[in-house]
Amino acid sequence: MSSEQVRPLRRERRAAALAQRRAAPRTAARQPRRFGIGLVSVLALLAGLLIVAAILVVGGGPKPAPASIIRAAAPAGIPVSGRILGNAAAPVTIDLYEDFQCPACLRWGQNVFPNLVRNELGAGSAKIAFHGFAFIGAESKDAGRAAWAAEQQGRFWDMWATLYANQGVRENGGSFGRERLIAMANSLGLDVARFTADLDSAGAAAFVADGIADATRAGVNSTPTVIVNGTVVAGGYTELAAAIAVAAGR
Amino acid sequence: MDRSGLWSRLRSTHPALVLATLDLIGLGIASYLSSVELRGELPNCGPLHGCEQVALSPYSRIGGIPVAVFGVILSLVLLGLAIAWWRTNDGRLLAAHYGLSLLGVVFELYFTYLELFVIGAVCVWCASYGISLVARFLVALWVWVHRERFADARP
Repeated sequence: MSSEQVRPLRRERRAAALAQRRAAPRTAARQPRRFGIGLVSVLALLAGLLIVAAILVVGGGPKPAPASIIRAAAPAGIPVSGRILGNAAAPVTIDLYEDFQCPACLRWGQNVFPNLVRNELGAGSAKIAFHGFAFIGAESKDAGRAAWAAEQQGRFWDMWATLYANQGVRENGGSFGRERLIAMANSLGLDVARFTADLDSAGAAAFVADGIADATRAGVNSTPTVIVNGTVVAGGYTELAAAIAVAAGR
Repeated sequence: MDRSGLWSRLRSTHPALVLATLDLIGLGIASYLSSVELRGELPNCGPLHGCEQVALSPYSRIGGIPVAVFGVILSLVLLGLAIAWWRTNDGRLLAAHYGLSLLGVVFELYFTYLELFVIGAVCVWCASYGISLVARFLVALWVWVHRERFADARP
């Protein structure tokens, strides 16, 4: 069949359909007016504002410090040696500079760290060396002292996980107040008397001060800063895994 | 096909296809961001910066779920509505597409405020999704206002 024959027929069919629809009373297909644009707009705006309000009340953003202490632990099955997490003989060292009040560090721990544990740390090809860089405020220093005090009982990484689990909405807003730090130690089953003494010790103060000095010397000016065998690695797990592979000579 | 034929063809194209195309673009962006976030990685912004800061901020998740996942769900629903409208010409589906895209624009405004004034960084992927959402809203609005023109458009 040639196109010359088909075109007039299609046009005729369309014209007939158009005339039929125009002549016909309004059907469901042509009734958007019932759902007036104003009504739908108002409903959509209200729903949008309600969702945003709900997010503000219960949803996204930083959480207030939990009233009760959340206990968290270092990943199971990964060797721990002081502030080193992972196989101490691993060929690649990931130097991790963090501030316990830093929300980006919390997100790093939620997003990147689990992948490291699952892959490189689990395989024993890399280890993490923690460095405190307590620059946000007094509670950063207090949290750093608590981590050092926990380290004296061989529980640095449990306290690391617990501190981040209890990070609050406001910096220096009481999340890492003294009573809460002691409660965290208690939740981990530490010797609280010894922990408290270590918390107030010169050793804890030196750990915090030395951490800041070391980070400054290393050129660290933000947290988290991740350095793999001496090279700063920006980005997420993909970039970090690639840098570890390069450092391992793979 | 000459230019007038092409124009005629475009004019006879159901506008739901334009909405569906925009929905697919939004779905692609949101899917990329979701997959990156769920794998514990950060979006790649190329020479632009800000994606990392936004992705690492506590505002990138709602109730522990990455915001981008909600973008995937919204785009899927909008795509379904656009296709359904295309197939049935039922004006209620266009109304639903319009309303949901407006709802998305409200959330997008809130998220843009967070980026600019709270997080202090702009994620180009999130901005692209926002632009696609605003485009979907505007197209749906325009189609609705001029719906009589499209009442007889066929798939």
